[in-house]
Amino acid sequence: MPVRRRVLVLALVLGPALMGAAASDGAVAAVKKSLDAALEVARAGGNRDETLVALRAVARDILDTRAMGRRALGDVFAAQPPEQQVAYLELFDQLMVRAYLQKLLLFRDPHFDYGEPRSAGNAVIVRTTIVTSRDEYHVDYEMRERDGRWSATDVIVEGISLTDNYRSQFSSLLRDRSFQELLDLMRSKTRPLPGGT
Amino acid sequence: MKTLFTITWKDLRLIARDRAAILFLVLVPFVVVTVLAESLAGSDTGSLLLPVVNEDQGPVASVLIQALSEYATVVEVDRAEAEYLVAGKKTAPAAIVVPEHTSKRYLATRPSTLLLLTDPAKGAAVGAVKAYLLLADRKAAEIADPLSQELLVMEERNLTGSRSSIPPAEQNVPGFSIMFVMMGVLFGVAFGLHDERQWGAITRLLTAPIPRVALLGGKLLARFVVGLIQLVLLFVYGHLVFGLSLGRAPVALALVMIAVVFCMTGFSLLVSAFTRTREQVIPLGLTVIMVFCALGGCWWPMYQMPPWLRQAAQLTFTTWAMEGFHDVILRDRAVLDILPGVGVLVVYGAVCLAAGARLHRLDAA
Repeated sequence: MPVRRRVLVLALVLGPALMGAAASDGAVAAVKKSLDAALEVARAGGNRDETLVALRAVARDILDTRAMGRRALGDVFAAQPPEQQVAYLELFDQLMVRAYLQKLLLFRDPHFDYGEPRSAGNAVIVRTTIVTSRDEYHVDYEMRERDGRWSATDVIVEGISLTDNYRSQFSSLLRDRSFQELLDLMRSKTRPLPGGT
Repeated sequence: MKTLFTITWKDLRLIARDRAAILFLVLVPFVVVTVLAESLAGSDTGSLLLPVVNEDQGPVASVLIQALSEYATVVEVDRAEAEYLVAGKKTAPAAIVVPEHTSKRYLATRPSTLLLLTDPAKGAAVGAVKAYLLLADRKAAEIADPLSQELLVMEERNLTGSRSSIPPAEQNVPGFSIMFVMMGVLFGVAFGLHDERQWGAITRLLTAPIPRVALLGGKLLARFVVGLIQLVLLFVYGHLVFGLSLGRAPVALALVMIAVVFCMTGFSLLVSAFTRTREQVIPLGLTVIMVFCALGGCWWPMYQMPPWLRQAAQLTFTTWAMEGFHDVILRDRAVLDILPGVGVLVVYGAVCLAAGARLHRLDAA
């Protein structure tokens, strides 16, 4: 085989793998950056409200709550008028950030381990483990790149997808309630935490 | 006017002559106020013992324990120890079991059921534990809000009987019954002996060929019978009017009643032995009744008292009397279960009876 052809075959075989590895590295780096930032904020101590505000910024940096919100509502989202969509996405953002932070804040000075990332379609699953002295808790981030920036379109805690969890709750609610009632319920659930939501 | 002052002066001199009566009169309010204040001092100092069985060993249990520690004395124990503290030793009104994998389930947004093992006989304290859980919910919200998503559900399990809640009357009727019967027996015994001495009846009886034991025993037996009838009537009234449960073992209830009134009778003889005059009976009797009722849990739940006072309360027969009634009517305990408590009451009464008889002087006025 001529040298030029060999190089071409090698490029065709290894190219996607190398690109995939680069993509995985980017996704892991984004998660690691976010979790390190969260740890730094938590360790800095200080005013609790300021800590919460800083943590919310970190959470919003990693979580693509708009994508999560659309996925959680499925086809129903597209059927809503724009103003309802905006209202829903704002409320979902609050709910998701809050739920994520609540879980993260449970741990006092956690240690994060990072597993081997894997590809899932056009997403990269970044596996993390929160290690405590008594147990381990698995949290996977489904990362997607958009406009050169990696963000999580789902968080899978102990095998349960947060987005799917909301999706099943919403579809069950919308079986016998209107979309407006769902928004009202979400509003009632997003009572502001100290430090603003 | 001069006559009035003369009579007043004469009476004051008579009162002053009975120094013991004056001492009791001055001391009573101080003693009672101190005991009442101390008894209630523990109500907001986290003196309630709350065993927690941490099967989770995860962050949710840690947050919950941290939050509950603000309101109660939380001890981490195993399941057997928790059940013993609630149902056996009866030092805790309830215990919380945080099941295995609660943290994992919470993190995965799946509900878990916390188990609340209760002794409904300590109804008010169980209510306090439930309130503490609500307060812990708020406190936890400041830490991580693990309870706000309705992911932790509470299941209550009664360890000591068949009912999950006890009406307040079922705790109050036995307490106030003990107090009033104690008043009747104590003042009856003390006044009876003093009056007979003052009227000279004792002199006549002592000259008659009656053994001293029979003389004192007869008087005490009469008071015992009156006290027992009074206690039975109060319980029947409580049963008919307030729906007071009489338990599942009438024999056990009867045994506790007999032991309680026997103990009261012996105790009354001992108290009356410390009084030389009729005037001394009222202040001393009232002090003893109030202190014993306060410490014995007749007026409020024992958990409201500081731990050291709860320990001290074990020396009062009213504590054992209340436990005996609670065992029978609230915890559905059978005869065999209540025998140790009944034994304590009988021994307590017998010791008081012996000491009282030895100290009491059946002499003429």
